[in-house]
This record gives sequence, structure tokens and C-alpha cells, in this order.
Amino acid sequence: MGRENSLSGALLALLGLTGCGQEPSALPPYGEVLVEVDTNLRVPQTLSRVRFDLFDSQRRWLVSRDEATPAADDFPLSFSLYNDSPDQRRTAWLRVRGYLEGRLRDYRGEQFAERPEFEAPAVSQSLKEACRDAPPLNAGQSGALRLRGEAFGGSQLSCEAAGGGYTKRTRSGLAVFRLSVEVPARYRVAVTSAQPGVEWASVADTVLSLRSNCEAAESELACNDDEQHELDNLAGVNQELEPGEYFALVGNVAPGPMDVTLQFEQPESQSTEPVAGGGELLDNGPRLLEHGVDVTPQSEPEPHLTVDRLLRLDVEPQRRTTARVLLDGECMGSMADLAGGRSCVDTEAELLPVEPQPLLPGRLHSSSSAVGTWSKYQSQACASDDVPQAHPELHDDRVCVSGGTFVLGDPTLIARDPDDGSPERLATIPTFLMDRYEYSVARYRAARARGFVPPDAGPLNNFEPVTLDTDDLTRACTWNEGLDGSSLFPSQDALPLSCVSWLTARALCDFEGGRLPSVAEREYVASAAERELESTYPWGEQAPTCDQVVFGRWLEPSRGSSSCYDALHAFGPSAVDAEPWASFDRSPCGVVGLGGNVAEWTRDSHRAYSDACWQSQPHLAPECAEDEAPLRTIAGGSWRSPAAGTRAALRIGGAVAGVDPWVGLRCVYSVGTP
Amino acid sequence: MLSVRRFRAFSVALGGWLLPHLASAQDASVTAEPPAAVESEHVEQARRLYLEGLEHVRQAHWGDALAAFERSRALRPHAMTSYNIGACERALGHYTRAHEQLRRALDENKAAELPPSVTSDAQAFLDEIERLLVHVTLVVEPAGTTVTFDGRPLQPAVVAAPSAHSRFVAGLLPPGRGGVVPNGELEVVADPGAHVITLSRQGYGDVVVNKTYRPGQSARLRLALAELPATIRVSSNERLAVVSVNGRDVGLAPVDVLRPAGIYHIEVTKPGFVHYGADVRVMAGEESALRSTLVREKPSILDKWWFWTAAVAVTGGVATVTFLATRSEPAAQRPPLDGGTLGWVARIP
Repeated sequence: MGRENSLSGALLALLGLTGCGQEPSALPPYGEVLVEVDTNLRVPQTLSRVRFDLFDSQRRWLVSRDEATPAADDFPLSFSLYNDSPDQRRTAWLRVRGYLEGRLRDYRGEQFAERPEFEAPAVSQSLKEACRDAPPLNAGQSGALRLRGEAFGGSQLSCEAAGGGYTKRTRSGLAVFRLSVEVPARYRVAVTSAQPGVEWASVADTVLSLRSNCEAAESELACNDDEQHELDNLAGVNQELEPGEYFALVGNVAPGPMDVTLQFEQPESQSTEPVAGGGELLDNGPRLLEHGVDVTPQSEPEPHLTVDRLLRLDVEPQRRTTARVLLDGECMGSMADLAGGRSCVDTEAELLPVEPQPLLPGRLHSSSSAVGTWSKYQSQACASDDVPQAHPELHDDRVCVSGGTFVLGDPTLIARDPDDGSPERLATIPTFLMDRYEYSVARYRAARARGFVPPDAGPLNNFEPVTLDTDDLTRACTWNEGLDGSSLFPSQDALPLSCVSWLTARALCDFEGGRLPSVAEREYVASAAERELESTYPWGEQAPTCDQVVFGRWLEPSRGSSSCYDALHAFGPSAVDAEPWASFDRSPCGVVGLGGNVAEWTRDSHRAYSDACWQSQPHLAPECAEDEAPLRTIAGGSWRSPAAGTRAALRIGGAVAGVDPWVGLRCVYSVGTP
Repeated sequence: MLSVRRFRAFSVALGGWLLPHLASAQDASVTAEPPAAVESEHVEQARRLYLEGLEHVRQAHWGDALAAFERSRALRPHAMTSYNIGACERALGHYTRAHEQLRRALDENKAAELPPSVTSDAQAFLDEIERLLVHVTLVVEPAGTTVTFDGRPLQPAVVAAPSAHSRFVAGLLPPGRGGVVPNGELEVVADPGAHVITLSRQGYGDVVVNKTYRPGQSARLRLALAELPATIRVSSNERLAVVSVNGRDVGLAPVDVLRPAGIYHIEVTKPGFVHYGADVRVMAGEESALRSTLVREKPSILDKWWFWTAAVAVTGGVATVTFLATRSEPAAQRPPLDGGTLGWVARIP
């Protein structure tokens, strides 16, 4: 005990000695701004990181810092900027970017871009108009035009088909180019690209007519269908021409719109055009230097999915203040203009000049946050009487989908444009109704009975039961109708309607009082509606198996056999409500078959998410809408997809007049539609 | 094809023009040479080769004549030999080389060794060749790209281009690796006809372009090399280890990641194992293999309670003694900065 007491006494003495310091004299505080950053977006679903970049008054980059904010209670974030001058005000520019984890792009200097305008290519509505507006081309030049899907009255082109034996006649509108010849020589006039391309050769094939008088068919000098062989869909002619003006008319043999590029070549062409490579030359600044060493971050938040706010902070000497900034959901996707000193504050796509940030006296810490309070998260709820009465035998019941805001696209879907899942964007979807099941054969038969007339030949009629035929995939088409209009195979009535063109699909949904879904509406149901976090597949995160989802059921010479064909000996689609698939391939709001069975037409033009058509769109109900689009988006997987093809954000393009045994449809409706 | 045939006919016609000058060249070379008493063996050999060259010319064997004249000049340079070399090159359609040799002949003619008619013809040939030569304005991206024309590097031109960009001549240097050309635009003077232009740069895909130019044509050609991506191959001694690149999961090891050139932070993680992290710099087109060795986590001495107890006791004692021994009057202090929830303060300069 005695020893312990002595030890305690020594320690107390030591503590007493150390505590006997004098009071330090006080200096005035540094000028300080406590910056407090909050957001009304959901964390971490829509925003999970914040990046700060600090610049001096000359906008020289001083420091960059990136913070993970994986939890809602990370907000509001705060930090201090200080001014150690005793008497000088100092100014700083602060860029605050809230973004989603992993959504980065390589930094190659400021690549500021305003939200683009989009104008669909003009389409002539008559031969007279097409001739009048024909773009002029001199030898060595090329031009691009879009032609409409519907033929001009009495103005079709006809040419002997490549290989001879029959005539090909156009069934679309025409694109006309005005050719100017100054030197007599042999010239080449050729369609060098057509969209839809050769993969759609059955419904997208060009015919070219070279005329001296645009509207006079009898002035035709040359005509061509397929220049190389009959599977080619590009037409071209070589023709001796005297000086003067000529017209090249291009049409499509199918009643579908088409984008065509025509090349008018010089004799003995000596091209001085770029022939290789690519790449863009970009201004690489500003740069972040630290003791003369370039430590610029290699990446920056992807602007399409970032709230980008620029602040100007005037820090007075020896004064403590607080600056509050809200990263507003309205500003997601509106990139700040650092050089021009403008950024979005609270109105989508509106960049305001940055004024000195208002400062509150003192250092104030907020106790609450605005996370998740953005008004666009609030949606109209579905009422019980919003959903009309269904006919079970037609599988036409509808599901009410409560609207909401989600991230459209999927950065892990890496494909050649326009199929790529990037860049993502925010999309707000109003409440709507969607068919619970894919549009069935029985429902189409009922629509025909009610007077529906397809705008084209309608779904391909299959006079045999759905059968595996490795040489003829149309044997998997589901529509069947006898000469008297009756069902040939009643057991197939519950199958999804397939081999249906986009034109017919759109007309069918119009007939049903609805419309084809937009890409955003369909992906919202498949990945986000009624979920806390977005999911990879319509049913969740689990990769599909053969007894859960209808996929991988093909046997083709070019692709071999597939996993579910081998496992189940199953081929083609299943009934739209067949179990066990209908119970598993079901979104949380009850829509069945968004992952597999048949893929489905949407109403959007099929363009890359980076295209101006998408980039020009607002958050609310974005869609890439064009009246005459050569390709429309097909979304979702099918019985012919691999497992990865059943992902919620998957989309590919299809020619509007094309029909495939793995493509069907389902419709959506505004709330209140009977 | 038409233009190629035209060149060939033109070259054959040149033979008739060349012979009269070769005859005078023979005379001139003889008269210009030093007295026989001081002639070396080399000079004798040079003269023999020169006469051999003349004989080949008479038979329109331009290639053999050229070889003989070049060997002769190597032994004894002479303005007339250079003139004849230029004439042979011209006959062969090698206009850039002919141009250089004829200019050299005039430069070497300081002692007026060439008869006036020959210098006048040489000048006429130069004027004519300048109208035939092709001028290609080449825009090459990126910087550091090497260029060859027909397998030969470009030679900087003696005569500068009228515009601000550099001028190079194709066809003068022997076949070999291309040289790095300046960034931006350059002008290449080349023979008319077909050329194979090759561009290469480490980390970029080669570009090979076939171009045919008419005599006297001016053309502009923009060539950009596409950057090859780099491949980072990450493997691990442990199965089911998760690989992330710059914080983004890219899959389970082994995995190949294609990225643009740059520095990447690679992490390989697996529960129960010490995290593996490394920074990898990859060049464009390069394949970099990274094998991570994951080591199972062991209970550390740092996890033992007694270690920290002892450490605190020792540290406290030392700190106290140090403080007592060294303490001084407290300095005046400023109130602390806030730092907020991030604990971050940044100074504004």
C-alpha cells in the first residue's frame, strides 16, 4: 500500500506541474467561411460522392478533394476556407459537384457544353418538295438525307434487281440530291451508307435512279438496285456525264424511313479527305499544380449525372461567416461553365452568372438535412379505380405504376453505340398504366374482330405450329390465322404476339387506347419502380436460370445450341403467364416478362444516349421522339437472348418495317384511360 | 493507271534529251581534270566508271548508268558527274532525287567546270522538275509520329517552304525507319505517282495509306493515329479476390482491364486477407501484368490489450518528462478554425 500511495503522489505532482502553465494571450481569428453543402437528392441512390475544387480569384486551381457520402446522414457536409491576411479580403471560386459513385470520365480539360438543341432531320413529303429542296453536290462531295417511310403518290422507283430476273420497286418516300457536272467525264454516284443497314436487308434496300430531270421518270439515265450482289443493300451507278445538272433519287424497297448518304465522285478522284484515325484535339486546362508538379486528377464526375455548382466566396479578414449551398436535383446534368462563371442553381438547364455567395454571420451548423426532399421524387399515387376491368382470356390486365425518378441507362452495359448504356441520365416518370403481360395472340385476334387493321401486312402468319426449324426462324412466329380468320392453333393463343413490325405495334397500342412505352418508362418499371435501389434485372440482382426466365432457347447453325434449349429442350416463347417463369420474371409492381420471353418495341428512335436527341431532353419523361426514324428501340431480352441479354437496361435497334420471332410488344396508358 | 502509263512514256522520252549532254560531259570532264602526272589511281578508276556510265546511257540502261556515275563520283566528285546522275534520276522518274543532283551540280560548279549550255540545261531541268513535283501538306497527329514515304524517311528540304510550316523531301534518303516529324502541318515534296505513306508511333496503331498524285498536284492529307488502349492483367494467388481499378470493381481475378494510358490504382481484396494495393502506369498499347499476393490476416501484436496499455504508459511518461524539461512561456494563439464535418480547412492565397 505504501508503495502504491507514493506512486500516486508522484503522478499527481507531475500532473500538477504540467497544469501550471500560463494563459496564452489571444490573437484575432482568421477570416473564415464555413461552407455547408446539402442536397435534396436521395443518398446514396442518386448522389453518393461530392467533389470540391478550389480556385483562387484568377481561377488558378488550388486544391481538389473528393469525399464519399454513402449515407444520408453524411449531409450537410461542411469545411472551412480561411484568409490569413490581417487586412485584405480574399476571393475564392469553389466548384462543388455531387455525383453518383463510379460515374467518372477521363479529365481532358474543361469540356463545357450547353444542353444541345435537337431537330430531327427534315423529310420531304412529296417528289416536288424533294426536288425543290435537293441539296447540291459537286464532284468529290457527299451528302446525307432522310427519306420518309410512306411512298410519294405515283413516284416509286423501279429497277431490275441485282442478278436480274425481277424488278425492285421502292415503297418509301424518296431522297433527292442535285448533282452539278462541270467537266465531261465518267462519274460515280453511289449510296455509301444506309440506316437501317445491311443487317436489315429484307426491309431496307436502296434503289438509285440518275435523271436529268428530277420529276420526269423518262429522263432516267441509269438505275441500280444492289451494286455488288443481291445481299448488298447499297445502290450505285457509273455514268458518262456531260456538263449540266442531274438528280440522284434514292428510295427504299420497304415502306420504312431510311437515312442515306450519297457520294458523288470526281473522275480519277484524288481525295484529300482525312483517311485514317480520329481523335479530338482538346484544350487540356485548367491544371492543378502542386509545387510545380502536375497533380491534376485523371478523372472528373460524368457531367450527365452530376449536380455541378460554382460559388464565389469573398472572405473578409478576421471575420467568421457561413455559406450554405444546396445541390439541387433540378441541376443534375447541367454542367457548370467554369470559364464563363455560370452554373445551375435551382432550375434545370438554366445557368446563372455566379454572384458573390451570401454569407451568414458566425459559424452555423445545421442540424437537419434536405436529403430526399426533391419534389420530383413525390409522385401521384395510383387509385384503386385507375385500373380498368380485364379479360383474363386475353391477358389484357394492366398494372398501375407509381411514378418516380431514377437513373436511366447502365454504365456496365458496354456496347457499340447506339446500344451503349452510357451516359446515364436522370429521368422522372409520371404515374402510368402498363400491360401486365406481353400482348398476346388471343388479344390480337380480338383486336382484329373489333376492327383493327394493320398499317402494313401485319404480323407474319405462321401456318405451322411454333416449331424448331434451324433453316427458317419464321417458323417460330406465333400469329396464326386460317383463311376464314379462325385460329389455326388455339393452344397458342396465350403466346406473345411476335413477328410484328414497329408500325403495326404502334398502331395496335393506339387502337387499345394507349401507346408504346418509352424506353425510360419501360426501364423504370424493369429496374426502379417500387424499389429502394435500382436493380440489374427486372426481378432483382440474381442472374437468371432456365426454370426462372424464358431465355437461351435457341438452336441455330451459326450460334450452336443454348443453355436452356439443352436443359429443357424448350424452343421459342412460353405463354405470357406460364409458370414458373411468370412468378419469377416479374417486377415488384407486378409486370411480367420484362426480362425474357419476347423483347418489346418502344416508341423511341434508336439513338445513342450521347446523341443530341437524348441530351436535349429534360428530366421529366425524356424520350428520343422523331416522326420518321429509321430505327426504333427494342428493349428487354427474349427466348433468343443469352442470360446477360435479360438485363433491365438492355436495348437494341430494329428497322420499323422489320419483323422478328423474338420481338413483340406491350402497351402503356395514361391514368384514367378506359 | 492512266497517269502511271503517262509517267513511263515520259521517262523513255528523256533518253533522247540526255545523250547530247553526256557527250559534252565527257569532253568537259576530261578538260577539267588535273594533269596526268598527278592523277591518282582513284582518278583513273573514276574516269573508267564515268565512261562505263556513258556506255550504259547510250543503251538506255539508266539504272546501270546511275550506279556507274555514283561510284565514279565517290572516287572523284565532279559537277559534270553530278549533272549526269541528276539526268539519270530524271530519266528514271525520280524527280526529287534528280532535283537534288542537278542543284548539287550547279553548286559544285564554282570553278565553272560545266559548259554554259550544260548549266543552262540543268537550270531548265530544275524549272521543269519543280513543275512536276507534288506538294503534299501533311497534318499529322499526335506529336512524335514517325513518317516514311515508300519506306524511306523524309529529309528536311534545303529550300524552306513559302508558308510557316516545315518542308521535307521524300525519296532522297535510303530506306529505313521513319524520322519524327514536327507537330502540326508539314509540307512534303514528292515525285508524282503512287506512294505508300506509313505513320507509326509507340502506343498507337500504324496507319498505312496508298495515295496517287498527278504531276504538279498540291494536296492536303490529314492523318491521325488512333491510340491503342492499354491492358492491365490482374491475377491473384487467391480465388474469388475482387479487383478494383481506381475504386471501381472490375471483376474477380484474373481479369483483363482495357483502359487508356495512364496511372491506375489497383486494389485486390478478399475477406480475411490483407488488402493488396498498387499503382500501375501503363503506356498506350502496352500490356501490364500485375500478380497480387494476398496474405491471410494474422492477429497482430497491435490487437493485444497489453501492448497498448504498455505503450500508453511509456509514451505518457516520456511526454511528461520532455514537457517539463523543455516548456517555455506559451505563445499567443489564434482561435481554432472550424473545419466542419470534414475536418478540412483550406487557405485562400
